[in-house]
Amino acid sequence: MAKKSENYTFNGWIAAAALVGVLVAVSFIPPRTLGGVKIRRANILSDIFDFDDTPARSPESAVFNEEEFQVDMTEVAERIDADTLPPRVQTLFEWEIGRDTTLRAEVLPDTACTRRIVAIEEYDSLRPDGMRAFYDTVLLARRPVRIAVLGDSFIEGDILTADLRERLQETYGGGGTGFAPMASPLTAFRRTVKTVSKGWTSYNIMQRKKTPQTLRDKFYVSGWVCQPVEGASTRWETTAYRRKLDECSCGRIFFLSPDSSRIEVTVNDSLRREFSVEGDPSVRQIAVRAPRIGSLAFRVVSGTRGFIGYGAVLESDGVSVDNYSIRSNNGQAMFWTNPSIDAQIDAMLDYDLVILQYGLNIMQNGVYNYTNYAAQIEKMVTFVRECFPGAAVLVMGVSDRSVRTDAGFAPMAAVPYMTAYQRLAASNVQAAFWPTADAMHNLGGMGHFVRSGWAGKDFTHINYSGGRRIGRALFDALNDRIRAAHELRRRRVCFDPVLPDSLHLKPLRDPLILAPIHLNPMMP
Amino acid sequence: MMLAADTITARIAGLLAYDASSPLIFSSGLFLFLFTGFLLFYAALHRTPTARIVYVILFSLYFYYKSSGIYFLLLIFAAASDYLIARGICRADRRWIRRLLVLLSVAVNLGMLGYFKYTNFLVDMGNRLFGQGFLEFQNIFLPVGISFFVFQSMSYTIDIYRGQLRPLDRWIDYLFYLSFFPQLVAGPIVRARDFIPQIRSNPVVVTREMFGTGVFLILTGLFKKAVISDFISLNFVDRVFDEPLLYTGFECLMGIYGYALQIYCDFSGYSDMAIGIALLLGFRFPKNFDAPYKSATITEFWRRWHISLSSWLRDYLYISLGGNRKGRVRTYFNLMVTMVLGGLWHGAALRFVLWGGIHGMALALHKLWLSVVPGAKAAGSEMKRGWRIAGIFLTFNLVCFSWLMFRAESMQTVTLMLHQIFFDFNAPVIPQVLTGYTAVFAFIAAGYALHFVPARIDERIRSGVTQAPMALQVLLMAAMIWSVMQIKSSDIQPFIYFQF
Repeated sequence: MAKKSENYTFNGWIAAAALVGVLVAVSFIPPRTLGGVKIRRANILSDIFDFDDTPARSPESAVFNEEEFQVDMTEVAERIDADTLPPRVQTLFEWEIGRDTTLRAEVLPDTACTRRIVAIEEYDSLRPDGMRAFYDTVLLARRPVRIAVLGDSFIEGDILTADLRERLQETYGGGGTGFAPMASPLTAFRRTVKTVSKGWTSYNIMQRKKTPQTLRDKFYVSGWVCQPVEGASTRWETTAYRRKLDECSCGRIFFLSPDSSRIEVTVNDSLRREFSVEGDPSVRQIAVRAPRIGSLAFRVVSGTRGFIGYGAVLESDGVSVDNYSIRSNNGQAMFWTNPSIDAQIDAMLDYDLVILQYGLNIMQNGVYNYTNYAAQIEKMVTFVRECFPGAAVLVMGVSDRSVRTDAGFAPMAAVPYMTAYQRLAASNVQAAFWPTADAMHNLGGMGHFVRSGWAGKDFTHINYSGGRRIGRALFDALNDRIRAAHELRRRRVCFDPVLPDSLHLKPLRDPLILAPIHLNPMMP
Repeated sequence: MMLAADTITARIAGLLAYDASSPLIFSSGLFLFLFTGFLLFYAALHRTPTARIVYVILFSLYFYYKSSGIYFLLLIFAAASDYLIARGICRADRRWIRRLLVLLSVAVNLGMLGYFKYTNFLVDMGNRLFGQGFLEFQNIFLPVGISFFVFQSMSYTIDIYRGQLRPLDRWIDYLFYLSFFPQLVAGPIVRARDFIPQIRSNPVVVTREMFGTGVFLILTGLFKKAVISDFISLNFVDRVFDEPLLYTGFECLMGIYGYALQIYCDFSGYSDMAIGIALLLGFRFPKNFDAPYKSATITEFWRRWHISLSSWLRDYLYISLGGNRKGRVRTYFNLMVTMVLGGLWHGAALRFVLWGGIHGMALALHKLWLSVVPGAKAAGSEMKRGWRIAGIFLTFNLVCFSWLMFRAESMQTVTLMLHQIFFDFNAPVIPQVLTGYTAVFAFIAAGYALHFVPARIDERIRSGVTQAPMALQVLLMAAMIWSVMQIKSSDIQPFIYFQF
């Protein structure tokens, strides 16, 4: 038998009790910063007691490099006017291969949605190019309806837009994946189109300082310029990752060839045609139409000097949704694009709606004042209207996000504030607004997204599964208004906009009170 | 912020109730409080074996209830079933009855395991073979730790059948063995013949060496599990495996190396804590991990990795299949079957089968190598330095390749990871990646450095902690828990992109 003094059976309890005592005492040490290192409260009692460690509300606005957002709108307008007047739609060649000439069939809204809808707030009801015009276009136009979604890494790889597109195309017709860049390191990640490119050097707009001087002024909102060597090629192939992607009947390839060049286009790996291109400083397109395009290949045979490849749009008559995502972009990248190039491509595509999805990288924990960022959003909307005239503009509110606390993950407190500032910005410039975070809360919030495998473990970025949920929620919101437009058009009565103070009070089809709205972002 | 008494009471009640989403784990604050309370009475009962056994059983059952709810009854059922079967085996005087009874025990245990763990796997297999909808998936709860306690229980009846153990006289002793909370949910798989002799020691003796070693193992376990493993998985490894195409080949390779460290730290860290806690209660468990990535051959790896499982598989499966007694081909076949089933034990999915298959194949090839190459050695300690280093490198990378199968959700992820590594390695981004993920790579480097630290240094640190005054041990533990809490509440590493 061991001697009493050697038996540590009781010491275990003494040690554990002492440990608990020390840790409970440590719990009362508030968070602090020591030598630049943030020390958090180590609250062993966090399951039972909370300490209010919310940082004091700072009156300071969010810190970001505002210089990056500098843009002279007058100059933008003058540049577009100078470069695109008289307006030229530079379709260089139209290659028709047994095209089906039937016009787009009449479409009807989807009436089956039973989910709770987070409505689109229409602050653009007085504008002729507002959402109402877009709804009418979707219902009535017998031509492709085009939507551009400009965003950041949240939608990278066609996340969210893949499902928005799928639902819109299923309901209102159309097919194809929309815009796909000529070459980028990210093409492999995108599952809605298979891109194989060779011989291109790609430059990203966020790294514009590393981009050759001659190319810096040639960026489009896609964020990529691609420079070929002789023989450089790209092949886009439709996939079946989402429905309707392979129902593609039109391919448009966009490029800039200031000098004469020869290019080759191959359709479905079987029909090949070579084109001689005369030099021109404007962006041009080759449009190919065929009953079904499964793959489209493009090759620069000769004349690579100054040649820039942008990408291709794969579409059909119906709704086309183009994903223009740029990592780490808070919207400032659009000001680094060439507005004339944006306008030239828009002249060929004629966008009906531009959706802006930004703000995720601007949010900071403990910062609730985003006045200065709201001002940048207003500039973005103005810029978009200059470059994409006639398109309605929808600002997507920032998405939900969680941060770590001593008790686990909690919703980021800044999200409702950023949403409120984005809403304010949208209303100031008469654009539409959709609160993405509200839609995500409807679906359970970011915590639920991560637990369900719909979002990454950074509690910030969604994946394709998460994109499916949000994309469908956005479709429901759009579809609901298109349905209302259709219904009211049928009854020939006035179609009232949705305003935020009435969102949850009245059904959408009821006449709404057009009372003045007081938006206070500091009280979201 | 101070709360009302009823709010606190409600929160405590919620905390103590069964919650499948938050099982009671050793690295949680709740466990610390419960264990402190438990220790007080445990110490008080150290001279009354029966009362102590009942007390520990009740705590263990609560521990299990907290993770698996009503399924703690399954544990009681398994204990009753094998206790009775074992007694039957001992009393039976005919060999066929003894064999029938041990088969019954194996059938009951594997039946439970099969039903709870593999039903949906078999449904999936059926649907793949005969078309979707052939069988319907079932909504079956997987009781925590069932794979461990079922194996433990089988070791008891098989040992009695083999005449290596006498059956216990008291059912509560057997229930104590099967439900003992330190090893209940994640091992190590403690053999009945190692554990049972310790149950009724009177009084319970915890020597200074046991106490110090227990503290040391809990400290290292916490560091491995709650600091290294949790940090690198959340901030790097998981995201690489989720979307390999968003990362360069270098990041994908680091993701695999990171996962190799993560799974080792996670598993061995929890084992260390279990062994440490058992030591504080006066029980000695066998070592479960012995720096496995120091292995210079795959055979050595399996002598160092999850030792309690590999020795269990060897003694109760490989030897039962005939081991190496039935010729060379049959030996390789037995190895393959053992490892494939060992893989399946880790989880009900094809990727685990594949993982087991890779190890089975590697073990068989190594056995062949040993038999045809003169001078080939089974372990690094017998090799010359150069061969040993080459062996460690090769073995580590082979094991990492198998971890890729183990971790990837699908074969597509495996293909994508390999594609990135071999066709988009992108070496120029290495400095950027290391700078962008400084903390992650610092932890990975620290983890591997500690892993490869020579045994004598490891022993010196262990002895320093073991012999330190208790006050210092408490402060060390407090510092470790504080660090864990800092890590747990630290900001998540944002996504960093290096591809352009």
